[in-house]
Amino acid sequence: MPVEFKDYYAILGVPRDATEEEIKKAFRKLARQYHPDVAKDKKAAEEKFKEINEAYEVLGDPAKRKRYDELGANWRAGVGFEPPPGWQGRAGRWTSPDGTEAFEFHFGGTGFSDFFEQFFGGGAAGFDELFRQARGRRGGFGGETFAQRGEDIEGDILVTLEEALHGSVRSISLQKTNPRTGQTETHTFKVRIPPGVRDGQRIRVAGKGGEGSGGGPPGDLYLRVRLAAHPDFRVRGADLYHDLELAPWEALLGCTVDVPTLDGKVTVRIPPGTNNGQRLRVRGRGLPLGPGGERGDLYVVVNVVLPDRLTDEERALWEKLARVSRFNPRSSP
Amino acid sequence: MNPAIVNTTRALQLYEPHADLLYTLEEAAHLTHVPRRWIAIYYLHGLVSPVRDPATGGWFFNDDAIRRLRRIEQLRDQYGMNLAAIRLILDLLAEVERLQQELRFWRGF
Repeated sequence: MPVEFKDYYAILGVPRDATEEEIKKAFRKLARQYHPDVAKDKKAAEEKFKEINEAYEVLGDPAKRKRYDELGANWRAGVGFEPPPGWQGRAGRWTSPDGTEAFEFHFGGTGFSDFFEQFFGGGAAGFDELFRQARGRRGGFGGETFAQRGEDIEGDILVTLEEALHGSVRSISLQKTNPRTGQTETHTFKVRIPPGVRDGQRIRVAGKGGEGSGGGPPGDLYLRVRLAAHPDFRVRGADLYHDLELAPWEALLGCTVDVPTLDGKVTVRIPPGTNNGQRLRVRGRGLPLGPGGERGDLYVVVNVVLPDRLTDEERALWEKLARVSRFNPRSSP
Repeated sequence: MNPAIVNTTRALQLYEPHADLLYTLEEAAHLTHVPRRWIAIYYLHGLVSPVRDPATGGWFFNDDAIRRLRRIEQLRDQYGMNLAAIRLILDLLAEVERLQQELRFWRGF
């Protein structure tokens, strides 16, 4: 089944030679605009938000971006997409060890396109291929058939931080082509995303994997959670990190600033003499730690930014400071 | 059984994974088609671990362990790997995933 090529550069509205910084900026701007929490038309915004996230998942990672550039080197808009030789999609299909039998599957409702699933999905970048071959027929003496369990299928599912905070129920559809009958079946079911779900965690959906043979049970479906990139937060375990830009005098003299959290803004007091890179902890504003209701923390990471242009008066003040100050950051203690 | 299949008022099946659901040794053996004796051997070689120390807490496995047991079987069955090689592969995969996550964090995800 051919998949439609995704023009991730067009989705983020950046040129093909954009720098990493430009890509990050474009993502943040669009993600703010289309974030399901702020947009007016929630349904349309959600679709767009997923698309932006998928594009950033690939272009925001230099290794994936390189693969993508190679994959799409000969692609032109309006022309059907054929992967270059040797670029068979990694995910989305199973092959028997002798290469004679294969079955394909496609997901719906995971937040990722078929294109992404096939070329960029899966855990540990590529190594999952080890497990993507149908199992050999064990002990086939005298043509006897043994009951064999079906293969496990893995797919990625995009989960927003808000879903990770409150939990949600997602409708997933899985289209499978049965290798024996050649028929395509679509299974639709709902999966509960538990609150506190972690990036990389796998949710097991029993019995939704490949068909068993010789009367064996079907395999399972594993949905690997990919937390959606958020314009304001980075995630580490149950803790969130927010990069806070401060002017040099704000950091030095101290100030109070409003900081976003997943449940509304909080006011944070920046103590005088706060250094670049210093972390301030806002307790209990992270993701759930477990079923008990405790939550991780939000860390505000200070990023002191210099003004990019100075008025004559400002320059004169800085020059005066340079003359007066005895501070030398390179002096040995 | 996990995830529990719950009939809702709508026709669609709802799968509810239960974070704390644990399987006994018998259930794990049944789910993975790995004999109990082999699960014990894998445990002794550090390939799979029950959620608690079997000496004091009994043999209970979570969903991650089930997936791991199936992968161990596949590596043995399909690639003919010995237990040392399987342990190396699984450790490397876990380490790669951990490093990728750290990299994602620093890249701003």
